[in-house]
Amino acid sequence: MKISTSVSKASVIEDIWKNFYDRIKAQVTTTTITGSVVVPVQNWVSSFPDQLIDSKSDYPIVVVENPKFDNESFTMTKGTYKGKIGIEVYTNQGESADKFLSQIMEAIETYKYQLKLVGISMVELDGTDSDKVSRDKIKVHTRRALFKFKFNYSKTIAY
Amino acid sequence: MVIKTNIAGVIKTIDGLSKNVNKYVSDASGDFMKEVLIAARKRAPRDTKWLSRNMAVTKTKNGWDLIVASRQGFFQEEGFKPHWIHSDMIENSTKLRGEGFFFVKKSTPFVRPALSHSLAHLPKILSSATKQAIAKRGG
Repeated sequence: MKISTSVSKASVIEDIWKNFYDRIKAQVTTTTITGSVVVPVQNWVSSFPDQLIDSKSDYPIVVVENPKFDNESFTMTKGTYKGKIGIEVYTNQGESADKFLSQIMEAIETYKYQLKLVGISMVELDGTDSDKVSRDKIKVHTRRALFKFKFNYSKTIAY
Repeated sequence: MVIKTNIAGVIKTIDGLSKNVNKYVSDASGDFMKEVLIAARKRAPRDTKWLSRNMAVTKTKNGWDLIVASRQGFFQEEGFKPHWIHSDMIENSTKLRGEGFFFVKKSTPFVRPALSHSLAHLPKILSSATKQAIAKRGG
């Protein structure tokens, strides 16, 4: 299954997002927790799941956020976008949340070479975060991994 | 041996550094406020969907504001006495359905708990922004 999307400067945000999203969707699908309970991911989305958060059957939810960029010079003719992308999982069990977070980290870690082939380099885990919220009858456990990366592009030369 | 010190260059670098730090710290503050926004949305009561949806972070002259544009927001945050409300006063609830009166027992603060959760990350965010500013200035 081909899950690499070539990244062009003109559509850098959506192309980079799609590379991370496709990888996570392909690799983070299900986990097994204590008691041989299989927990399959129900939804993959790109922003805070406001519509889904109230229904227990919609969990687990994986959120692949939009990447954020900073710009710096690389060479005289090339620039670098230094970016960060957050991937978050919402579940109803702390155990499955931890296991999904491990899967997310592993999916990106083992995919670094393919990301490099489409121009996304220096992919590294920048940090993780966890949160727990009680919402009436639903307990929501969230885990978030933040990845940083670089993307080099040819500058438009203007005198 | 001659050691030359370019004082003008040093002053220029330091002068530029403070501007750079301001810019990066301001951007980082925005990231922090967006983090607080998401944490507040997770914690916002769902008796009215508008409360969660009508929260936003905006940049102002003096920094960043988290705006809760819903009349219930203040009372949920600061508390209220148990009271009855009519279904006409409820906007798009996920919990309270049908016509009539509903008894509302307790408030659910959501901004302060979100802020207290996110504050733990603030030192890292600011330190990273400062390092970036210095690196960009050639420090």
